Amino acid sequence: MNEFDPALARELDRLAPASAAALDWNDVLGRAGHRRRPVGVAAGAVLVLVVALLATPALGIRRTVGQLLGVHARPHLRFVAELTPVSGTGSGTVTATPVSSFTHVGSDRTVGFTRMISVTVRFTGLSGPATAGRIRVTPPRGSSGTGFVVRLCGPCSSGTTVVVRRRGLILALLTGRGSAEIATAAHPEGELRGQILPSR
Amino acid sequence: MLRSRSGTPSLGDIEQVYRSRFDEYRRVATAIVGDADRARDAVQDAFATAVRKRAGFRGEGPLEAWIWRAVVNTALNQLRAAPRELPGYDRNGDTPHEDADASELRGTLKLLPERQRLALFLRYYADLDYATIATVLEISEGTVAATLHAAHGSLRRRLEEVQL
Repeated sequence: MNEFDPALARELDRLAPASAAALDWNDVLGRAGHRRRPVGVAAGAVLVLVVALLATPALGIRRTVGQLLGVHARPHLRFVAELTPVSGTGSGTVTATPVSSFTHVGSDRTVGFTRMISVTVRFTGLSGPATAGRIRVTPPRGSSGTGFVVRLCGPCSSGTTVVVRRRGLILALLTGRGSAEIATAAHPEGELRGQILPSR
Repeated sequence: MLRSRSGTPSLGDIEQVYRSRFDEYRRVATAIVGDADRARDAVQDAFATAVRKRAGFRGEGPLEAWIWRAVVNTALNQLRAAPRELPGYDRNGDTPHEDADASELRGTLKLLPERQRLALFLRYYADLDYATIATVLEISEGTVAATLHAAHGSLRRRLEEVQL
């Protein structure tokens, strides 16, 4: 009973595909039309809700929520770049502030989180009209990525405020990978430049 | 090797089988459909079916055997929907193997009746015992023994001819 022929097993093993680790169980659940693990969704939703409330001063309850949850709310997140000239005597600043956050539920029942950033550009003493304002983001150290550029304005006036939304921008600014530049005809790659850093 | 369970299995029960037995299910599915990607699809589809229909599992046999039946049926359906001329794959499970002896063996396997092929795959690639193979193929243990005996005979004769 339960005959097993070792010679035949060796022959058949020549055709056997190599071992492989199990694929993602969530993919199986997705194919089954089954909801993702309720505990994961619930935990994710709670996390996003807390972060959204803490980060939304417009609701006027940030401090209250933080106190209720025993969390000391951070001062509102803000980024600043002090712009210095590559030539001439110009100067300027770029300030960036996250202005909104919200959750959404995608078609695959995932919970998402989207933020926009309000960016204000101020400058003076340029060699000519500002032709463009940009945020340039470099890829993470060791990454093979190419980074990206977010266009702010062009032509630009000092005091211009724009709202931008770009995936990964806040994380890039938090990790010091963003820099701002104001271009002029004489310096199309940026007459004023400065690294954007988190600021209280 | 296989545990008996009773009642409707939980998602955790099925996930545990998936994580502990995935490679065996995949090896057999690859042997049936002859393509590593389609085999992975078949295994995942079979487990998705098991998740959806787990209330239909009455605990009359091992949970693994019940899932084995789903995997074999899903792989067979895939093969019938888009048959390959000759199932073949290399040890990475990706591309056709060009070794002459291996091709000969695959050709011989292809000539076997489907039940013999499935019994061989379940015995040698998943190390299932006769009782479990009987449950998966919905035949008696005696028929499993006879089926494997016949398959062994055919393959041994063919391999001896090749060696001569």
